[in-house]
Amino acid sequence: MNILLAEDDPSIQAIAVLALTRVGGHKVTTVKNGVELLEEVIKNKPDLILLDVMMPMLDGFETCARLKQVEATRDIPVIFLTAKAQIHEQHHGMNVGALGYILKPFDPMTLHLQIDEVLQNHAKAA
Amino acid sequence: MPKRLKWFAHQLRSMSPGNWQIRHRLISAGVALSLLSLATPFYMRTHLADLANTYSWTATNWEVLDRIHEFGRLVTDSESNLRAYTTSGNRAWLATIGTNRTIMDELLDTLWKTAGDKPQRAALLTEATKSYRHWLHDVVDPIIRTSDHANRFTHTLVEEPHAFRIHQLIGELARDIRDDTIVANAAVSNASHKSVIVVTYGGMIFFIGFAALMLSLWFTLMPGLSHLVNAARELKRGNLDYRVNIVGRSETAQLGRAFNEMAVSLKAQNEKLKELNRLKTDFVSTVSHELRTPLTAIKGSIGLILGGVTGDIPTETEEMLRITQKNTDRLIRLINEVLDVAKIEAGAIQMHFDKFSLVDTISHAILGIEAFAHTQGIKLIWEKPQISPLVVIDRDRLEQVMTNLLSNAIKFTEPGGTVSVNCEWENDRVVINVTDTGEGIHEEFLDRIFQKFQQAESAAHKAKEGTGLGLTICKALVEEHGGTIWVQSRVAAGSTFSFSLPWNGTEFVESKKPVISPLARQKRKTILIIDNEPDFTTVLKKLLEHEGYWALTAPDGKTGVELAIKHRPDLVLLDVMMPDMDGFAVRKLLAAAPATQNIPVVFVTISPELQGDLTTDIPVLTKPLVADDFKVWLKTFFTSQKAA
Repeated sequence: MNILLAEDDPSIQAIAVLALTRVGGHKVTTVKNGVELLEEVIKNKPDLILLDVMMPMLDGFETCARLKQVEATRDIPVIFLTAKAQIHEQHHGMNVGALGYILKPFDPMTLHLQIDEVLQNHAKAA
Repeated sequence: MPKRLKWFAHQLRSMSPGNWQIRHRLISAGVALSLLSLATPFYMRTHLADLANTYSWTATNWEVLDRIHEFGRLVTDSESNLRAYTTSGNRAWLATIGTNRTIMDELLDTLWKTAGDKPQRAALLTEATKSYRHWLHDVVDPIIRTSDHANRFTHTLVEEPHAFRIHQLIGELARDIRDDTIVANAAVSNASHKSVIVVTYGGMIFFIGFAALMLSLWFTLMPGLSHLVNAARELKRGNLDYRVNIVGRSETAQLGRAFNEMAVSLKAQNEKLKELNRLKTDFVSTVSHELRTPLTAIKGSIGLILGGVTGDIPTETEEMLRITQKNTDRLIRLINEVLDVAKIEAGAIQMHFDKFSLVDTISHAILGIEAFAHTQGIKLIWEKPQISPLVVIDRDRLEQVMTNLLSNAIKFTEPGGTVSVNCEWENDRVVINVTDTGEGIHEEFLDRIFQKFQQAESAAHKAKEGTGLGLTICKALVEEHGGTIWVQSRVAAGSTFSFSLPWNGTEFVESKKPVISPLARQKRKTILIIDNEPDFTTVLKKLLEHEGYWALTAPDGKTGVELAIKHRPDLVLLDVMMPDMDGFAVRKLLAAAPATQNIPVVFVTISPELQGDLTTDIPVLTKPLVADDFKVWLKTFFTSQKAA
């Protein structure tokens, strides 16, 4: 799966990339914020977007909302990967069009399985 | 002007009808009623004195009348005796007359003293006295012998035509006094009647005055108090903008003014508290976020290293990293629970209620904790009903409660023990019970078990690494649902944690089979590798963990058997050639122990030549394992296990 990851923290970015490529077997492209993501998503056309919430320039919620406004990117599934643990924050994420939520700290060895679970749940709900 | 006088003038000025205060009304009514109370006795005093005199005078009259009657009786007696003498010549009458005369003299004196104050009465008495003296007093021996009747006695009194004049006089006197008395009695009656009228009207005026005062107070107080009660209720509902409408300067108006000032102050303080609360929640949220970010890096790094993604690591390093990983997870749990408690205490916990199947929610929570129970050697029993009440819950939060209770039950139960879950329903509620066969809780601790940072003081509990917040969170979350939570426990007999949730008593749905996620499905299987070759063990473990299995490793047979008893794996991958205790001996021990005899065992050997010696009923895999083939074998193996 071609995953586009938006994460401003370099350490977490590196860990997530390793977890997704080496353990999950996915192809990963990274960006540091929402603005970069909106540029990259047109070029990259990913199968899935993993989105941090707290990012400079443009936060994850706003980025997701903009992705859902544009026809070319509307159908790309978005999953938040964030330390924003409060329930209302999670609900806000779902309201702006994300499929699901993976909370930090995540287990790098099962991150790919957590993604599968979110996608599976969404497919079932649909 | 003296200060008090000024105050009084001010009071007078303020006493226009619109501004009349309760004290003005009370003072006015008090003065009016006091004047009335004072005037009544004054009026009544004169009147009652007259009444008393009249009564006294009437009593005297009655006494005089008695005397007159007595006088009359004696006169009559004397006349009778006199007549007896004139017919029979009996002279005994003289003695009687003499005695009566003395008594009658005294009676006349008394009559003169007591009844001689009126001219008519004096004239009558004079006349009567004169007659009496003439006929009975002055004529001591008036007996005569007539010329024509030689033996006949007579008396001039008897012969005279006006002989009974004295009786008429006495009768007139008595009538006069009686008439006076009747008049006096009428006066008394009149005075009494007036007194009754005065008392009755006085009482009525007093009552009307009192009633008017009460009504005045009622109409003054009630509207104001009613507004105040409404305002207090609005405040209670949280409407801090509500104000009392103030009219005039009465006490209730003043109370309303004070109430409004209080509401303004309350609103300001409330805003302040809200702001502080928001800052606190923001702080907790920020701290939580800021802690999570580095923890993500730590947990992620350790996970990748331990997962073999970055290459092989020495055993000691792995051991240290596992300790770090375990404590990182503990720290993450603590942060989550502290965040929850902060939200609960700030009243900022947000619930998202919807209708869900109770049984399916419990099933989902059990599914998530099954792997943990399995690794702890605990048998998890879910007495799942075929139908489920449809309850209004926050599913995530209820799963959190269930997971917490189940996790505690598993942690505080020795391997080999049981944790069972059941749910029951009544008219308006459902009750969920989580029962374990653990060590139980001391009675003195039961009262505070749901309080923050309360953990039983025992070495066994300390070893469980809890935060002491889990049950506090459970209680708060259950109460947010409108339910209650409680515990029953006996030392050495186990505990039952129960909680109830409201239910409408009518709605049911069919229980569904829980959907097992890829994560949960793979996590459920635990595989124990017993092999003395560390390289092989590391590679195999990584491979298994990559596939999502829970892999345990033992470097020798003895450790392997211990781990198998403790964790009850779903599969044991057993090396044959090991020092001290070979694979066959381990197999025998596992087959002999009741806890492990049903665990499937697969030999993994590097020596194909030994295969011929192996017992045919045990599958054999040959080293080196080919990863893809092995994955297929595992899937097939577990599928066949499930089918079996």
